[in-house]
Amino acid sequence: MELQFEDDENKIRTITLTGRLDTAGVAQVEVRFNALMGPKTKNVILNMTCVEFLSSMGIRMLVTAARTCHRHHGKLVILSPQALVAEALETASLTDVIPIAASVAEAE
Amino acid sequence: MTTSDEWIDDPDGTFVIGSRALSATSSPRQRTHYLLFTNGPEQGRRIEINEDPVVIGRSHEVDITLQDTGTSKRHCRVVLRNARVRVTDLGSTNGTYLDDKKLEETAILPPESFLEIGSHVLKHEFRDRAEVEKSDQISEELETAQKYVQSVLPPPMNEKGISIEWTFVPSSTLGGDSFGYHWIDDDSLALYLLDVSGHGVAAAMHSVSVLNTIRHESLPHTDFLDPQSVLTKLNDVFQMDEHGGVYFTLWYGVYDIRTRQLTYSVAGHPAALLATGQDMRQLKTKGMPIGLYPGAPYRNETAEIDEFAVLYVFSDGVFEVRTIQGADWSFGELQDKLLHLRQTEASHSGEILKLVENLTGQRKWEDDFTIFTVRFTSRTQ
Repeated sequence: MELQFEDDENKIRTITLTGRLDTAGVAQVEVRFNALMGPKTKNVILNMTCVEFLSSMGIRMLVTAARTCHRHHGKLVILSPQALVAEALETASLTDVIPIAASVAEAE
Repeated sequence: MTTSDEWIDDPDGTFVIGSRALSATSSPRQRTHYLLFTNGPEQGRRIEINEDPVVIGRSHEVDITLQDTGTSKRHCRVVLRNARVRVTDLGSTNGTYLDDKKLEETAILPPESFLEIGSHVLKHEFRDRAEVEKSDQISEELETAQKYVQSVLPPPMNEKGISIEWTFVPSSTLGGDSFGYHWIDDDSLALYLLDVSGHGVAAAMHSVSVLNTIRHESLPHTDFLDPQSVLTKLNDVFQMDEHGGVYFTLWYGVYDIRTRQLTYSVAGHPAALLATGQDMRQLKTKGMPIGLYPGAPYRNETAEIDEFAVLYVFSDGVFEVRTIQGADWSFGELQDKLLHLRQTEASHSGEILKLVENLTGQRKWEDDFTIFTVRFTSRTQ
């Protein structure tokens, strides 16, 4: 599991995950991922284009991040999830609290 | 503080050198050679390999006896010599294999290599003894927890025109699945399956705690005939901030044998499947997993149950698997397979387990495999 991030001039943080967000994948990135959700982080675009699988542990990581953004009066948006990941998000009925966007423009 | 030069007067009258006493906590790890059974009935058993030769075979006269017709009476010998593990085939009928190559004579067994003796596959581990002991202890605790989970699961049921059978295979690290069914009153049967996030003893114990809450109907001011009120109340009680960051998904339904109606509500759990004739309907409702968000809404849906309908309730461990070819299997593919199974009289849950085992080539599961099948065998008079 790989994690990269960048901040734009509008203070939107884009985090890109690559790999499988299963128990092992979460263990690899969770500390760094949570560290990116500091008090100054409000709005986050989570690029999941290259995430092949989302497990219950991955869902917990995403929900925790979404709650953190909400506490900071911001929002977490998921960008372009693959079909299996989108299905997992739909099954967990998370799309109301973590919106899905098909493009960066839509996410912003 | 003791320095490395001091002598310490040991209470039992002997003297030890201070530096040695101190080095006990900083010495290099003591690593030991082991052979670990990776399959079959002996799976998980470890044999320590040292300078005393160990003879493995089918005979009761050898050091390690294997109940295996593919193994000769004295099959092979393993010993540690000059810090290397050596294995010698003792003229066995079927041969001894090291990493898929047949041994001609004595060979070195490198760490992480695999030794094949009959149907048994043993892995050479070179590990810290304390770490192995700790890992064994954790395995024992997992096994105890696993037995506990299994002890609270209900037996198969066949009464009032309903028969239920199930298959539950805990993952190698013990997941958080549990399920149950019980009569709320003479006519209403509650059916439920939950899956706690994460693995290990904590997830399993949380799962049993929730299961007991449901099966003993111990939520205050809750109508257990009304699924959405059960989910709403559970979400109030089991918020993850107050339960070690753990949440769970749940499928909960109530079947009324008088009206032949199934009322259900779902909290982030995969849909159950209702097979009627050649139709397969997904029974799902919108609702977040229990414990993620305070005040999350849940709602009921209702399904009419026809004669000879079959209901499948399962966890994601049944279909979130990788095939031998490395592809992710899917809910849709499971649905197709269940539709084909409709014609068989065999245990559908057991057939699905066999199918997924063949698809994945695995006998050890990364997640709990749980499915229960409810057959509505006849109309209630």
